[in-house]
Amino acid sequence: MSNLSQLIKNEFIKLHHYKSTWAMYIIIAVLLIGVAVITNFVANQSMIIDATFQSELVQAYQSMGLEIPAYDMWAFMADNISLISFITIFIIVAAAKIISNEYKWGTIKLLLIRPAGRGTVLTSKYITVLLFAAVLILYTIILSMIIGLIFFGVDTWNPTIVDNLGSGYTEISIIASIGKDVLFSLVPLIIVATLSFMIAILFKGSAMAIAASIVVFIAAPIITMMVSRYEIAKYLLTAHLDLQSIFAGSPLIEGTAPGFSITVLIVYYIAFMVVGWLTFKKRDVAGN
Amino acid sequence: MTEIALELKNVSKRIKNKEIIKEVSFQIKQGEVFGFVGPNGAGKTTTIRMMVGLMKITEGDIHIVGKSIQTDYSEAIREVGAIVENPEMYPFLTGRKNLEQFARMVPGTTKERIEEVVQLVGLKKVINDRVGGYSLGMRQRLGIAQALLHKPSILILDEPTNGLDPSGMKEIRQYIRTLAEKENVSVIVSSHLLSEIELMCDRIGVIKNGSLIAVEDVEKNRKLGDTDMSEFIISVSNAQTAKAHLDSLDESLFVEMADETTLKTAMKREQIPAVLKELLNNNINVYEVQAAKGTLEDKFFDLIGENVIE
Repeated sequence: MSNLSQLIKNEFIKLHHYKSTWAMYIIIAVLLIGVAVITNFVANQSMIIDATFQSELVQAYQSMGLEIPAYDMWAFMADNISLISFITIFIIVAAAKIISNEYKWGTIKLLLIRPAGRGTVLTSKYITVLLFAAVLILYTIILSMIIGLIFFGVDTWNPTIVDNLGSGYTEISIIASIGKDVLFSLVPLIIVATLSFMIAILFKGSAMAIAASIVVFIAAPIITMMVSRYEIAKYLLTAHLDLQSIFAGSPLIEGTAPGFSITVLIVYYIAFMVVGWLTFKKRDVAGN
Repeated sequence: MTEIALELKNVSKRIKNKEIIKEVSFQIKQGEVFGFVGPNGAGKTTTIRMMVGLMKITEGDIHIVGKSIQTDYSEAIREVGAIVENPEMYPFLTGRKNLEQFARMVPGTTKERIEEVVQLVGLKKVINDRVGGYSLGMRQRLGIAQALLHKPSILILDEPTNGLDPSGMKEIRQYIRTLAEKENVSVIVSSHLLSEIELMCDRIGVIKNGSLIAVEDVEKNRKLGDTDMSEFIISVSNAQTAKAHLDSLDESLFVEMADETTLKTAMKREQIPAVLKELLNNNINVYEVQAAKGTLEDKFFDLIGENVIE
Protein backbone atom coordinates (compact mmCIF):
# COMPACT_ATOMS: atom_id res chain seq x y z
CA MET A 1 0.00 0.00 0.00
CA SER A 2 2.92 2.33 0.60
CA ASN A 3 3.57 1.81 -3.07
CA LEU A 4 0.24 3.49 -3.86
CA SER A 5 1.08 6.52 -1.73
CA GLN A 6 4.44 6.82 -3.49
CA LEU A 7 2.68 6.73 -6.85
CA ILE A 8 0.23 9.42 -5.71
CA LYS A 9 3.20 11.52 -4.61
CA ASN A 10 4.68 11.08 -8.09
CA GLU A 11 1.44 12.17 -9.71
CA PHE A 12 1.22 15.26 -7.49
CA ILE A 13 4.78 16.24 -8.35
CA LYS A 14 4.07 15.89 -12.07
CA LEU A 15 0.75 17.73 -11.77
CA HIS A 16 2.38 20.67 -10.02
CA HIS A 17 5.02 20.97 -12.70
CA TYR A 18 2.42 21.96 -15.28
CA LYS A 19 1.99 25.66 -15.84
CA SER A 20 -1.74 25.06 -16.34
CA THR A 21 -2.05 23.80 -12.76
CA TRP A 22 -0.63 27.00 -11.37
CA ALA A 23 -2.83 28.95 -13.75
CA MET A 24 -5.82 27.31 -12.04
CA TYR A 25 -4.75 28.57 -8.61
CA ILE A 26 -4.09 32.03 -10.02
CA ILE A 27 -7.39 32.22 -11.92
CA ILE A 28 -9.34 31.33 -8.78
CA ALA A 29 -7.50 34.01 -6.79
CA VAL A 30 -8.07 36.62 -9.49
CA LEU A 31 -11.76 35.76 -9.72
CA LEU A 32 -12.22 35.99 -5.95
CA ILE A 33 -10.49 39.36 -5.75
CA GLY A 34 -12.44 40.60 -8.76
CA VAL A 35 -15.77 39.54 -7.25
CA ALA A 36 -14.80 41.18 -3.97
CA VAL A 37 -13.89 44.46 -5.66
CA ILE A 38 -17.07 44.53 -7.73
CA THR A 39 -19.26 43.65 -4.75
CA ASN A 40 -17.50 46.26 -2.67
CA PHE A 41 -17.97 49.13 -5.09
CA VAL A 42 -20.99 48.28 -7.13
CA ALA A 43 -23.40 46.15 -5.22
CA ASN A 44 -25.54 47.19 -2.35
CA GLN A 45 -23.59 45.61 0.42
CA SER A 46 -25.86 46.46 3.26
CA MET A 47 -28.04 43.55 2.18
CA ILE A 48 -27.19 39.92 1.82
CA ILE A 49 -30.37 39.37 -0.17
CA ASP A 50 -31.65 41.22 -3.20
CA ALA A 51 -35.20 42.24 -2.29
CA THR A 52 -36.35 42.41 -5.91
CA PHE A 53 -35.19 38.98 -7.04
CA GLN A 54 -35.54 37.07 -3.81
CA SER A 55 -38.73 38.49 -2.42
CA GLU A 56 -39.83 35.05 -1.24
CA LEU A 57 -36.74 34.81 0.89
CA VAL A 58 -37.24 38.30 2.27
CA GLN A 59 -40.76 37.32 3.27
CA ALA A 60 -39.40 34.22 4.97
CA TYR A 61 -37.11 36.39 7.07
CA GLN A 62 -39.91 38.74 7.95
CA SER A 63 -42.30 35.97 8.87
CA MET A 64 -39.71 34.50 11.22
CA GLY A 65 -39.04 37.89 12.75
CA LEU A 66 -35.37 37.77 11.82
CA GLU A 67 -33.22 40.63 10.68
CA ILE A 68 -31.60 40.24 7.28
CA PRO A 69 -27.86 40.06 8.03
CA ALA A 70 -25.33 42.48 6.56
CA TYR A 71 -23.00 41.39 3.77
CA ASP A 72 -19.87 40.08 5.51
CA MET A 73 -17.18 37.43 5.12
CA TRP A 74 -19.73 34.60 5.46
CA ALA A 75 -21.95 35.98 2.76
CA PHE A 76 -18.95 36.39 0.48
CA MET A 77 -17.94 32.78 1.12
CA ALA A 78 -21.42 31.49 0.48
CA ASP A 79 -21.55 33.44 -2.80
CA ASN A 80 -18.27 32.03 -4.04
CA ILE A 81 -19.06 28.39 -3.45
CA SER A 82 -20.45 28.59 -6.99
CA LEU A 83 -16.80 28.71 -8.10
CA ILE A 84 -16.85 24.94 -7.67
CA SER A 85 -18.46 24.82 -11.13
CA PHE A 86 -15.31 26.45 -12.37
CA ILE A 87 -13.18 24.00 -10.45
CA THR A 88 -15.20 21.16 -11.98
CA ILE A 89 -14.05 22.25 -15.43
CA PHE A 90 -10.44 22.41 -14.23
CA ILE A 91 -10.79 18.91 -12.81
CA ILE A 92 -12.24 17.63 -16.10
CA VAL A 93 -9.08 18.91 -17.77
CA ALA A 94 -6.80 17.49 -15.08
CA ALA A 95 -8.50 14.06 -15.22
CA ALA A 96 -8.08 13.88 -19.00
CA LYS A 97 -4.50 15.16 -19.01
CA ILE A 98 -3.26 12.89 -16.26
CA ILE A 99 -3.94 9.99 -18.64
CA SER A 100 -3.32 11.51 -22.05
CA ASN A 101 0.00 13.15 -21.20
CA GLU A 102 1.57 9.78 -20.40
CA TYR A 103 0.58 8.56 -23.86
CA LYS A 104 1.69 11.80 -25.46
CA TRP A 105 5.17 11.60 -23.95
CA GLY A 106 5.39 7.83 -24.28
CA THR A 107 6.14 7.60 -20.55
CA ILE A 108 3.19 5.25 -20.14
CA LYS A 109 5.56 2.41 -21.05
CA LEU A 110 8.00 3.31 -18.29
CA LEU A 111 5.12 3.65 -15.86
CA LEU A 112 3.71 0.22 -16.61
CA ILE A 113 6.89 -1.84 -16.52
CA ARG A 114 7.13 -1.51 -12.72
CA PRO A 115 6.09 -3.94 -10.00
CA ALA A 116 3.09 -1.79 -9.06
CA GLY A 117 0.83 -3.18 -11.77
CA ARG A 118 -1.62 -1.39 -13.98
CA GLY A 119 -4.54 -1.29 -11.58
CA THR A 120 -2.45 0.44 -8.92
CA VAL A 121 -1.05 2.93 -11.41
CA LEU A 122 -4.54 3.86 -12.56
CA THR A 123 -5.87 4.04 -9.00
CA SER A 124 -3.07 6.40 -8.02
CA LYS A 125 -3.99 8.67 -10.91
CA TYR A 126 -7.68 8.64 -10.04
CA ILE A 127 -7.05 9.36 -6.38
CA THR A 128 -4.74 12.20 -7.40
CA VAL A 129 -7.53 13.77 -9.45
CA LEU A 130 -9.94 13.62 -6.52
CA LEU A 131 -7.33 14.91 -4.08
CA PHE A 132 -6.54 17.76 -6.45
CA ALA A 133 -10.25 18.65 -6.51
CA ALA A 134 -10.27 18.66 -2.70
CA VAL A 135 -7.18 20.87 -2.65
CA LEU A 136 -8.73 23.37 -5.09
CA ILE A 137 -12.00 23.51 -3.15
CA LEU A 138 -10.23 24.02 0.19
CA TYR A 139 -8.02 26.65 -1.41
CA THR A 140 -11.10 28.47 -2.71
CA ILE A 141 -12.85 28.32 0.67
CA ILE A 142 -9.83 29.50 2.63
CA LEU A 143 -8.94 32.20 0.14
CA SER A 144 -12.53 33.49 0.01
CA MET A 145 -12.52 33.61 3.82
CA ILE A 146 -9.36 35.71 3.82
CA ILE A 147 -10.48 38.00 1.01
CA GLY A 148 -13.96 38.29 2.51
CA LEU A 149 -12.48 39.21 5.88
CA ILE A 150 -10.29 41.89 4.32
CA PHE A 151 -13.04 43.44 2.18
CA PHE A 152 -16.15 43.02 4.29
CA GLY A 153 -15.09 42.18 7.84
CA VAL A 154 -17.05 39.80 9.99
CA ASP A 155 -20.24 40.36 11.99
CA THR A 156 -20.48 37.28 14.09
CA TRP A 157 -18.53 34.03 14.38
CA ASN A 158 -21.70 32.01 14.62
CA PRO A 159 -23.78 33.30 11.71
CA THR A 160 -27.17 32.00 10.65
CA ILE A 161 -29.15 32.28 7.46
CA VAL A 162 -32.64 31.40 6.32
CA ASP A 163 -32.61 28.77 3.63
CA ASN A 164 -34.84 26.22 1.97
CA LEU A 165 -33.65 22.71 2.70
CA GLY A 166 -36.37 21.07 0.65
CA SER A 167 -39.00 21.25 3.38
CA GLY A 168 -39.68 24.97 3.54
CA TYR A 169 -37.64 27.86 4.92
CA THR A 170 -35.80 27.44 8.18
CA GLU A 171 -33.05 29.22 9.99
CA ILE A 172 -29.74 27.38 9.71
CA SER A 173 -26.08 28.12 10.32
CA ILE A 174 -24.27 29.60 7.30
CA ILE A 175 -21.49 27.10 7.77
CA ALA A 176 -23.97 24.26 7.43
CA SER A 177 -25.46 25.93 4.37
CA ILE A 178 -22.01 26.25 2.77
CA GLY A 179 -21.25 22.65 3.62
CA LYS A 180 -24.48 21.54 1.99
CA ASP A 181 -23.69 23.52 -1.17
CA VAL A 182 -20.20 22.01 -1.35
CA LEU A 183 -21.56 18.49 -1.00
CA PHE A 184 -24.15 19.04 -3.71
CA SER A 185 -21.53 20.47 -6.11
CA LEU A 186 -19.22 17.54 -5.42
CA VAL A 187 -21.66 15.12 -7.02
CA PRO A 188 -21.46 16.46 -10.59
CA LEU A 189 -17.74 17.13 -10.09
CA ILE A 190 -16.94 13.52 -9.28
CA ILE A 191 -19.24 12.15 -11.99
CA VAL A 192 -17.92 14.27 -14.86
CA ALA A 193 -14.31 13.92 -13.68
CA THR A 194 -14.75 10.14 -13.80
CA LEU A 195 -16.35 10.44 -17.24
CA SER A 196 -13.42 12.51 -18.49
CA PHE A 197 -10.97 10.02 -16.97
CA MET A 198 -12.70 7.10 -18.69
CA ILE A 199 -12.89 8.74 -22.11
CA ALA A 200 -9.22 9.74 -21.88
CA ILE A 201 -8.35 6.07 -21.25
CA LEU A 202 -10.48 4.93 -24.19
CA PHE A 203 -9.05 7.43 -26.65
CA LYS A 204 -5.57 7.88 -25.10
CA GLY A 205 -6.08 11.57 -25.76
CA SER A 206 -7.57 14.51 -23.93
CA ALA A 207 -9.52 16.43 -26.59
CA MET A 208 -12.53 14.14 -26.76
CA ALA A 209 -12.56 13.59 -23.00
CA ILE A 210 -12.52 17.29 -22.17
CA ALA A 211 -15.05 18.28 -24.81
CA ALA A 212 -17.57 15.56 -24.01
CA SER A 213 -17.34 16.03 -20.24
CA ILE A 214 -17.71 19.79 -20.38
CA VAL A 215 -20.73 19.45 -22.64
CA VAL A 216 -22.33 16.97 -20.24
CA PHE A 217 -21.57 19.25 -17.30
CA ILE A 218 -22.60 22.63 -18.73
CA ALA A 219 -25.34 21.64 -21.14
CA ALA A 220 -26.99 19.09 -18.85
CA PRO A 221 -30.30 21.01 -18.61
CA ILE A 222 -30.41 21.65 -22.36
CA ILE A 223 -29.64 18.05 -23.26
CA THR A 224 -32.27 16.84 -20.82
CA MET A 225 -34.90 19.26 -22.18
CA MET A 226 -34.24 18.17 -25.74
CA VAL A 227 -35.09 14.57 -24.98
CA SER A 228 -37.50 15.17 -22.13
CA ARG A 229 -40.55 14.03 -24.12
CA TYR A 230 -39.14 10.54 -24.43
CA GLU A 231 -39.43 8.05 -21.65
CA ILE A 232 -35.69 7.36 -21.82
CA ALA A 233 -34.86 10.90 -20.66
CA LYS A 234 -35.21 9.97 -17.03
CA TYR A 235 -32.36 7.48 -17.36
CA LEU A 236 -30.07 10.11 -18.82
CA LEU A 237 -27.11 11.12 -16.68
CA THR A 238 -27.72 14.80 -17.39
CA ALA A 239 -31.16 14.71 -15.73
CA HIS A 240 -29.67 13.85 -12.34
CA LEU A 241 -26.55 15.95 -11.93
CA ASP A 242 -28.30 18.80 -10.11
CA LEU A 243 -29.21 16.91 -6.94
CA GLN A 244 -29.87 20.16 -5.08
CA SER A 245 -32.87 20.95 -7.29
CA ILE A 246 -34.04 17.36 -7.09
CA PHE A 247 -33.94 17.47 -3.28
CA ALA A 248 -35.65 20.87 -3.36
CA GLY A 249 -38.45 19.32 -5.39
CA SER A 250 -37.84 20.92 -8.77
CA PRO A 251 -36.11 18.28 -10.92
CA LEU A 252 -35.49 18.63 -14.65
CA ILE A 253 -37.76 15.69 -15.35
CA GLU A 254 -41.11 15.84 -13.58
CA GLY A 255 -41.45 13.41 -10.74
CA THR A 256 -37.83 12.41 -10.30
CA ALA A 257 -37.34 11.28 -6.73
CA PRO A 258 -33.99 11.76 -4.95
CA GLY A 259 -33.65 8.01 -4.40
CA PHE A 260 -34.06 7.28 -8.09
CA SER A 261 -31.55 10.00 -9.03
CA ILE A 262 -28.95 8.66 -6.64
CA THR A 263 -29.41 5.15 -8.01
CA VAL A 264 -28.99 6.35 -11.60
CA LEU A 265 -25.85 8.32 -10.65
CA ILE A 266 -24.33 5.31 -8.90
CA VAL A 267 -25.02 3.07 -11.90
CA TYR A 268 -23.35 5.54 -14.26
CA TYR A 269 -20.41 5.97 -11.90
CA ILE A 270 -19.81 2.23 -11.64
CA ALA A 271 -20.11 1.87 -15.41
CA PHE A 272 -17.48 4.58 -16.01
CA MET A 273 -15.12 3.01 -13.49
CA VAL A 274 -15.49 -0.53 -14.82
CA VAL A 275 -15.06 0.48 -18.47
CA GLY A 276 -12.03 2.65 -17.65
CA TRP A 277 -10.29 0.11 -15.43
CA LEU A 278 -10.91 -2.90 -17.65
CA THR A 279 -9.74 -1.08 -20.77
CA PHE A 280 -6.60 0.11 -19.06
CA LYS A 281 -5.79 -3.28 -17.60
CA LYS A 282 -6.44 -5.36 -20.69
CA ARG A 283 -5.16 -3.22 -23.51
CA ASP A 284 -1.86 -3.85 -25.25
CA VAL A 285 0.41 -0.85 -25.06
CA ALA A 286 1.66 -0.49 -28.60
CA GLY A 287 3.28 2.32 -30.51
CA ASN A 288 0.67 5.05 -30.17
CA MET B 1 26.76 -18.89 -13.57
CA THR B 2 24.92 -20.75 -16.28
CA GLU B 3 21.57 -19.93 -14.77
CA ILE B 4 18.87 -18.95 -17.23
CA ALA B 5 17.97 -15.28 -16.92
CA LEU B 6 15.21 -15.21 -19.48
CA GLU B 7 13.36 -17.87 -21.35
CA LEU B 8 10.81 -17.64 -24.13
CA LYS B 9 8.74 -20.77 -24.62
CA ASN B 10 6.87 -21.03 -27.92
CA VAL B 11 5.72 -17.45 -27.71
CA SER B 12 3.11 -16.44 -30.26
CA LYS B 13 1.20 -13.22 -30.70
CA ARG B 14 -1.89 -12.79 -32.80
CA ILE B 15 -3.56 -9.47 -33.47
CA LYS B 16 -6.88 -9.72 -35.29
CA ASN B 17 -6.11 -13.22 -36.52
CA LYS B 18 -2.84 -12.11 -37.99
CA GLU B 19 0.09 -13.93 -36.55
CA ILE B 20 2.69 -11.32 -35.66
CA ILE B 21 5.03 -13.60 -33.71
CA LYS B 22 5.23 -17.30 -34.48
CA GLU B 23 6.37 -19.69 -31.77
CA VAL B 24 9.55 -17.92 -30.79
CA SER B 25 11.70 -19.76 -28.24
CA PHE B 26 15.11 -18.92 -26.87
CA GLN B 27 17.03 -18.70 -23.65
CA ILE B 28 19.44 -16.11 -22.32
CA LYS B 29 22.03 -16.95 -19.70
CA GLN B 30 23.06 -14.68 -16.89
CA GLY B 31 25.72 -12.20 -17.86
CA GLU B 32 25.17 -12.77 -21.55
CA VAL B 33 24.64 -10.08 -24.15
CA PHE B 34 22.06 -11.22 -26.65
CA GLY B 35 21.49 -9.36 -29.89
CA PHE B 36 18.08 -9.35 -31.46
CA VAL B 37 18.33 -8.52 -35.13
CA GLY B 38 15.78 -8.28 -37.87
CA PRO B 39 14.49 -5.89 -40.48
CA ASN B 40 11.94 -3.25 -39.57
CA GLY B 41 8.58 -4.79 -38.87
CA ALA B 42 9.95 -8.27 -38.19
CA GLY B 43 8.55 -8.34 -34.67
CA LYS B 44 11.48 -7.28 -32.51
CA THR B 45 9.61 -4.61 -30.60
CA THR B 46 6.50 -6.76 -30.27
CA THR B 47 8.57 -9.54 -28.73
CA ILE B 48 10.19 -7.07 -26.36
CA ARG B 49 6.81 -5.61 -25.41
CA MET B 50 5.66 -9.09 -24.47
CA MET B 51 8.80 -9.63 -22.40
CA VAL B 52 7.99 -6.59 -20.26
CA GLY B 53 4.25 -7.21 -20.07
CA LEU B 54 3.16 -4.26 -22.19
CA MET B 55 1.50 -6.71 -24.57
CA LYS B 56 -0.38 -9.86 -23.70
CA ILE B 57 1.04 -13.16 -24.93
CA THR B 58 -1.40 -15.06 -27.12
CA GLU B 59 0.29 -18.41 -26.66
CA GLY B 60 3.36 -19.66 -24.83
CA ASP B 61 5.05 -18.07 -21.85
CA ILE B 62 8.00 -15.92 -20.89
CA HIS B 63 9.95 -16.63 -17.73
CA ILE B 64 12.24 -14.08 -16.13
CA VAL B 65 14.64 -15.62 -13.64
CA GLY B 66 12.17 -18.47 -13.38
CA LYS B 67 9.07 -16.30 -12.83
CA SER B 68 6.29 -16.11 -15.39
CA ILE B 69 5.56 -12.63 -16.70
CA GLN B 70 1.92 -13.67 -17.03
CA THR B 71 1.14 -15.15 -13.65
CA ASP B 72 3.83 -13.62 -11.47
CA TYR B 73 4.06 -10.18 -13.02
CA SER B 74 5.27 -8.08 -10.08
CA GLU B 75 8.05 -10.46 -9.12
CA ALA B 76 9.13 -10.99 -12.72
CA ILE B 77 9.14 -7.34 -13.75
CA ARG B 78 11.20 -6.38 -10.69
CA GLU B 79 14.11 -8.17 -12.34
CA VAL B 80 13.77 -6.21 -15.57
CA GLY B 81 15.03 -2.81 -16.55
CA ALA B 82 14.05 -1.66 -19.99
CA ILE B 83 13.91 1.00 -22.62
CA VAL B 84 11.16 0.23 -25.10
CA GLU B 85 11.62 2.15 -28.33
CA ASN B 86 12.69 5.69 -27.52
CA PRO B 87 14.01 6.73 -24.12
CA GLU B 88 10.99 8.81 -23.17
CA MET B 89 11.08 10.88 -20.00
CA TYR B 90 9.09 13.72 -18.50
CA PRO B 91 10.43 16.71 -20.43
CA PHE B 92 9.50 19.30 -17.81
CA LEU B 93 11.38 17.56 -14.99
CA THR B 94 15.12 17.55 -14.47
CA GLY B 95 17.11 14.39 -15.01
CA ARG B 96 17.33 13.85 -11.27
CA LYS B 97 13.61 14.47 -10.70
CA ASN B 98 12.86 11.93 -13.43
CA LEU B 99 15.03 9.33 -11.76
CA GLU B 100 13.40 10.11 -8.41
CA GLN B 101 10.03 9.41 -10.00
CA PHE B 102 11.17 6.00 -11.17
CA ALA B 103 12.93 5.29 -7.87
CA ARG B 104 9.64 5.77 -6.00
CA MET B 105 7.98 3.18 -8.21
CA VAL B 106 10.21 0.33 -7.03
CA PRO B 107 10.36 0.14 -3.23
CA GLY B 108 13.86 0.08 -1.77
CA THR B 109 15.62 2.28 -4.31
CA THR B 110 17.81 4.71 -2.40
CA LYS B 111 19.15 8.20 -3.07
CA GLU B 112 22.67 6.74 -3.10
CA ARG B 113 21.65 4.38 -5.88
CA ILE B 114 20.49 7.36 -7.97
CA GLU B 115 23.89 9.03 -7.53
CA GLU B 116 25.63 5.76 -8.38
CA VAL B 117 23.68 5.31 -11.60
CA VAL B 118 24.13 8.94 -12.64
CA GLN B 119 27.86 8.47 -12.16
CA LEU B 120 27.82 5.26 -14.17
CA VAL B 121 26.16 6.75 -17.24
CA GLY B 122 28.17 9.97 -16.97
CA LEU B 123 25.34 12.46 -16.67
CA LYS B 124 26.62 14.26 -13.58
CA LYS B 125 26.98 17.62 -15.27
CA VAL B 126 23.48 17.87 -16.68
CA ILE B 127 21.45 15.88 -14.15
CA ASN B 128 19.92 19.06 -12.72
CA ASP B 129 18.84 20.36 -16.13
CA ARG B 130 15.40 19.82 -17.58
CA VAL B 131 15.18 16.75 -19.80
CA GLY B 132 13.39 18.80 -22.45
CA GLY B 133 16.76 20.34 -23.29
CA TYR B 134 18.68 17.06 -23.48
CA SER B 135 20.21 15.76 -26.67
CA LEU B 136 19.18 12.33 -27.89
CA GLY B 137 22.44 10.88 -26.57
CA MET B 138 21.82 12.30 -23.10
CA ARG B 139 18.26 10.99 -23.13
CA GLN B 140 19.52 7.57 -24.17
CA ARG B 141 21.89 7.59 -21.20
CA LEU B 142 19.15 8.75 -18.84
CA GLY B 143 17.04 5.93 -20.20
CA ILE B 144 19.75 3.44 -19.32
CA ALA B 145 20.11 5.04 -15.88
CA GLN B 146 16.37 4.63 -15.34
CA ALA B 147 16.54 0.99 -16.42
CA LEU B 148 19.43 0.25 -14.05
CA LEU B 149 18.00 2.03 -10.98
CA HIS B 150 16.47 -1.00 -9.29
CA LYS B 151 19.43 -3.30 -10.03
CA PRO B 152 17.68 -5.60 -12.48
CA SER B 153 19.08 -8.97 -13.55
CA ILE B 154 18.01 -8.34 -17.13
CA LEU B 155 18.40 -5.19 -19.12
CA ILE B 156 16.26 -4.91 -22.23
CA LEU B 157 17.26 -2.20 -24.66
CA ASP B 158 15.21 -1.69 -27.77
CA GLU B 159 17.33 0.01 -30.43
CA PRO B 160 19.74 1.56 -27.91
CA THR B 161 22.02 3.02 -30.55
CA ASN B 162 19.22 4.51 -32.62
CA GLY B 163 20.04 8.07 -33.55
CA LEU B 164 23.39 8.15 -31.79
CA ASP B 165 26.60 9.40 -33.34
CA PRO B 166 29.49 6.92 -33.69
CA SER B 167 31.18 7.95 -30.46
CA GLY B 168 27.89 7.72 -28.61
CA MET B 169 27.36 4.23 -29.99
CA LYS B 170 30.80 3.20 -28.90
CA GLU B 171 30.14 4.44 -25.38
CA ILE B 172 26.84 2.59 -25.14
CA ARG B 173 28.58 -0.56 -26.36
CA GLN B 174 31.18 -0.18 -23.65
CA TYR B 175 28.56 0.31 -20.92
CA ILE B 176 26.74 -2.76 -22.03
CA ARG B 177 29.87 -4.95 -22.08
CA THR B 178 30.90 -3.61 -18.67
CA LEU B 179 27.49 -4.30 -17.19
CA ALA B 180 27.43 -7.84 -18.48
CA GLU B 181 30.96 -8.66 -17.39
CA LYS B 182 31.22 -6.84 -14.05
CA GLU B 183 27.66 -6.94 -12.70
CA ASN B 184 26.59 -10.18 -14.35
CA VAL B 185 23.57 -8.48 -15.88
CA SER B 186 22.02 -10.15 -18.91
CA VAL B 187 21.41 -7.72 -21.71
CA ILE B 188 19.08 -7.96 -24.67
CA VAL B 189 19.72 -5.41 -27.38
CA SER B 190 17.67 -5.14 -30.49
CA SER B 191 18.61 -3.46 -33.72
CA HIS B 192 17.80 -3.54 -37.39
CA LEU B 193 21.48 -3.01 -38.13
CA LEU B 194 23.67 -6.00 -37.51
CA SER B 195 26.88 -4.02 -37.66
CA GLU B 196 25.74 -1.83 -34.75
CA ILE B 197 25.38 -4.60 -32.25
CA GLU B 198 27.64 -7.30 -33.66
CA LEU B 199 30.54 -5.88 -31.67
CA MET B 200 28.91 -6.14 -28.26
CA CYS B 201 26.97 -9.38 -28.38
CA ASP B 202 27.81 -12.91 -27.37
CA ARG B 203 24.98 -14.36 -29.42
CA ILE B 204 22.68 -12.96 -32.03
CA GLY B 205 19.15 -14.07 -32.81
CA VAL B 206 17.76 -13.23 -36.23
CA ILE B 207 14.04 -12.65 -36.50
CA LYS B 208 12.12 -12.39 -39.74
CA ASN B 209 8.37 -12.16 -40.26
CA GLY B 210 7.78 -13.04 -36.64
CA SER B 211 9.89 -16.20 -36.60
CA LEU B 212 13.26 -16.66 -35.03
CA ILE B 213 15.18 -18.05 -37.98
CA ALA B 214 18.68 -18.37 -36.59
CA VAL B 215 20.71 -17.95 -33.44
CA GLU B 216 24.38 -17.33 -34.15
CA ASP B 217 27.21 -17.65 -31.70
CA VAL B 218 29.12 -14.53 -32.61
CA GLU B 219 32.02 -15.03 -30.28
CA LYS B 220 32.84 -18.45 -31.76
CA ASN B 221 32.69 -17.15 -35.32
CA ARG B 222 35.09 -14.40 -34.50
CA LYS B 223 37.60 -16.70 -32.85
CA LEU B 224 37.56 -19.11 -35.79
CA GLY B 225 38.29 -16.24 -38.11
CA ASP B 226 41.41 -15.38 -36.12
CA THR B 227 43.09 -18.76 -36.23
CA ASP B 228 42.01 -20.09 -39.58
CA MET B 229 42.39 -18.65 -43.05
CA SER B 230 40.50 -15.51 -43.96
CA GLU B 231 38.62 -14.63 -47.06
CA PHE B 232 40.04 -12.03 -49.43
CA ILE B 233 38.57 -10.55 -52.56
CA ILE B 234 41.06 -9.63 -55.28
CA SER B 235 40.21 -7.41 -58.24
CA VAL B 236 42.35 -8.24 -61.25
CA SER B 237 42.43 -7.49 -64.97
CA ASN B 238 41.76 -11.09 -65.98
CA ALA B 239 40.32 -13.41 -63.41
CA GLN B 240 40.51 -16.57 -65.50
CA THR B 241 44.26 -16.52 -66.12
CA ALA B 242 44.84 -15.26 -62.60
CA LYS B 243 43.03 -18.27 -61.19
CA ALA B 244 45.09 -20.62 -63.33
CA HIS B 245 48.35 -19.09 -62.10
CA LEU B 246 47.30 -19.15 -58.46
CA ASP B 247 46.07 -22.72 -58.60
CA SER B 248 49.51 -23.83 -59.71
CA LEU B 249 51.27 -21.61 -57.16
CA ASP B 250 50.18 -23.11 -53.87
CA GLU B 251 47.97 -26.05 -53.15
CA SER B 252 46.74 -24.66 -49.84
CA LEU B 253 45.15 -21.71 -51.59
CA PHE B 254 41.48 -21.73 -52.27
CA VAL B 255 40.62 -19.69 -55.35
CA GLU B 256 37.23 -19.12 -56.84
CA MET B 257 36.18 -16.91 -59.73
CA ALA B 258 33.38 -14.58 -58.77
CA ASP B 259 33.18 -12.85 -62.15
CA GLU B 260 35.47 -11.80 -65.04
CA THR B 261 37.57 -9.51 -62.88
CA THR B 262 37.04 -10.72 -59.32
CA LEU B 263 38.57 -13.59 -57.42
CA LYS B 264 37.40 -14.90 -54.10
CA THR B 265 40.24 -16.47 -52.19
CA ALA B 266 40.82 -18.02 -48.81
CA MET B 267 44.34 -17.83 -47.50
CA LYS B 268 46.55 -16.91 -44.61
CA ARG B 269 47.64 -13.33 -44.23
CA GLU B 270 51.33 -14.25 -44.79
CA GLN B 271 50.50 -15.65 -48.21
CA ILE B 272 49.30 -12.35 -49.68
CA PRO B 273 52.74 -11.02 -50.84
CA ALA B 274 53.52 -14.24 -52.66
CA VAL B 275 50.14 -14.26 -54.38
CA LEU B 276 50.53 -10.66 -55.51
CA LYS B 277 54.08 -11.27 -56.75
CA GLU B 278 52.88 -14.24 -58.79
CA LEU B 279 50.08 -12.25 -60.37
CA LEU B 280 52.17 -9.17 -61.17
CA ASN B 281 55.03 -11.24 -62.54
CA ASN B 282 52.58 -12.78 -64.99
CA ASN B 283 51.36 -9.39 -66.23
CA ILE B 284 48.06 -9.53 -64.46
CA ASN B 285 47.11 -6.13 -63.02
CA VAL B 286 45.88 -6.11 -59.44
CA TYR B 287 43.56 -3.24 -58.52
CA GLU B 288 42.39 -4.16 -55.08
CA VAL B 289 42.83 -6.70 -52.33
CA GLN B 290 40.08 -6.62 -49.78
CA ALA B 291 39.47 -8.65 -46.67
CA ALA B 292 35.95 -10.03 -46.89
CA LYS B 293 34.78 -8.92 -43.49
CA GLY B 294 31.92 -10.32 -41.47
CA THR B 295 30.84 -13.57 -42.95
CA LEU B 296 28.05 -12.91 -40.48
CA GLU B 297 26.85 -9.96 -42.46
CA ASP B 298 26.54 -12.16 -45.55
CA LYS B 299 24.76 -14.75 -43.54
CA PHE B 300 22.40 -12.12 -42.23
CA PHE B 301 21.50 -10.99 -45.70
CA ASP B 302 21.15 -14.56 -46.88
CA LEU B 303 18.74 -15.17 -44.06
CA ILE B 304 16.80 -11.96 -44.36
CA GLY B 305 16.68 -11.85 -48.13
CA GLU B 306 15.76 -8.87 -50.19
CA ASN B 307 12.13 -8.13 -49.50
CA VAL B 308 12.47 -7.09 -45.91
CA ILE B 309 8.93 -6.03 -45.15
CA GLU B 310 6.18 -8.40 -46.11
